[in-house]
Amino acid sequence: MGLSPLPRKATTSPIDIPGGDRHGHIIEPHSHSLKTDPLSSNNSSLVSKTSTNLSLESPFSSKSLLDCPPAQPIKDSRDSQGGNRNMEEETITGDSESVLNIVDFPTDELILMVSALLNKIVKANDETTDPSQQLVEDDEDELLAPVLAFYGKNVPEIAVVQYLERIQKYCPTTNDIFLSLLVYFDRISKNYGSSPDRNDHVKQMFVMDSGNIHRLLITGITICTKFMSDFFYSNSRYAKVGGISLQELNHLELQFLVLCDFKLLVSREEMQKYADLLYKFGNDQ
Amino acid sequence: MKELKHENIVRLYDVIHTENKLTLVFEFMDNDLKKYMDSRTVGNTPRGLELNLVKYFQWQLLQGLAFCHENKILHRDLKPQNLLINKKGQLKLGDFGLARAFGIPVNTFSSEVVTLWYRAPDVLMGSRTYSTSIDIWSCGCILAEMITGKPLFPGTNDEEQLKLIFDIMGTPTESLWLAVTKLPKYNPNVQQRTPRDLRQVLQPHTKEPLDGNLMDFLHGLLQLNPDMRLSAKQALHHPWFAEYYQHTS
Repeated sequence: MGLSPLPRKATTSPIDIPGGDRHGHIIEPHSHSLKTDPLSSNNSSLVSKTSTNLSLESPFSSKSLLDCPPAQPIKDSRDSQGGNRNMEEETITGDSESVLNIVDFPTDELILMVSALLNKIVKANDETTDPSQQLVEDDEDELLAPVLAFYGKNVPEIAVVQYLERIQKYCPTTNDIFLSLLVYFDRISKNYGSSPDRNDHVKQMFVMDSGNIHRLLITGITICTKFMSDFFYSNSRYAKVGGISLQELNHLELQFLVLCDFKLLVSREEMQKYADLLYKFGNDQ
Repeated sequence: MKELKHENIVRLYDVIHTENKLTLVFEFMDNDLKKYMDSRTVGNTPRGLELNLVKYFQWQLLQGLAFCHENKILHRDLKPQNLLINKKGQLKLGDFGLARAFGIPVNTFSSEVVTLWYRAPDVLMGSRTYSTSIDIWSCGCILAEMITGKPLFPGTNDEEQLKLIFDIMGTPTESLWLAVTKLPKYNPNVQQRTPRDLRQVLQPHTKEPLDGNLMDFLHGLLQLNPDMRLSAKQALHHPWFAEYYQHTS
């Protein structure tokens, strides 16, 4: 499984859904045969042909909704961005009127909001990542291995929303799982946040971009469902649905746990916080 | 589980992951409650434990369980085999293989949990909305087993398990347990039973007299209606434990 970090700059930007139009977004009908490999790039029927320009001026710009600042190395200045902003702070400052009912909220709509949010982050990170600064080299290999594991040889072309809908179609799950994913991504970003290197340069080690988002999603959903629910599918099914080999999923599963420091518990309050924030994001779109 | 640090929960010290193996490093314990009780069997006659030891073990069991429940964890497999003891007489909850976080609103629970003998009647009837009371029922079964040395409800299948429970505890009535008829596997045709006196059931198997406090406490754990069972915290405040909480507080 390719640990080599791949073309960070996608030639196209396939991972977008139209901004401001989430309800009207039409997924291209495609055959949901399980034999389809959603991560193979020549699978054109799964490729979103829509493109978009989400405004980056929203509250969830690179300042980081999921605490996932762009991968730029911040040289010699650890707080040039005002420190690590995280979703908790966002919630305190944001208005608390929007409340999402985790039990009753339609999961297909939640998926659209999660996808829109992830797209925004991925897009911002894709644009700001300097390909010359790829997380390859040197002596941090061991630390970075779990991060690098989520990159494949090619950037998968299937849009995040279609990928999530595919997973939901074949391995249906509940709102709490998708919300927990956001919590986990945030935790990983914190765990693998800025660390000063030998030259005292600070770099963000974990960045969600179009190269790793799919593997993060299928792995996260696999782990989270197994952790939270008594009803889940086999790893081989998740692998097939996610378009990776069972062997790779098994490997990624462990890497994901390492990234999370094995902390999967999400409190009700924490989940509600993310739900409300997501809802607010959805409404602002 | 690494975060669950309590003197009555077996400590997970470390998780070692190599390419092909995941190794969990736990605190060392000498024995488990099942083996300990078996070792006291004389000939073919199982013997219960001394009541002061029963009380000490039960106190520790509920301390550990209260801590789990406070931290929003259901154990879901409490039984003597999973209660580890050491030479100091400490008892710790182990085997969190079936444990699950609760409190998240969408939780989807299976009713195929808990070893049959220790499985609560609501779960046997297919409830999927159970909560902490599922562990409390197991605690009641374990308490009775420590007293007599024999499992209280040793069923061989779901149906027989319920029958054994009803034979002693009586069949549930709607007046005492409103929602019982709505459970998926509720059987309205089951032969009606009146509750037997638990003391009379247990007393022949132990030399020590079972006092009113103990019986009241046991009844608090073994309520058919899950909503009527004591919580772990309430149980720790029961008069049967008076000598303990008067010391500790």
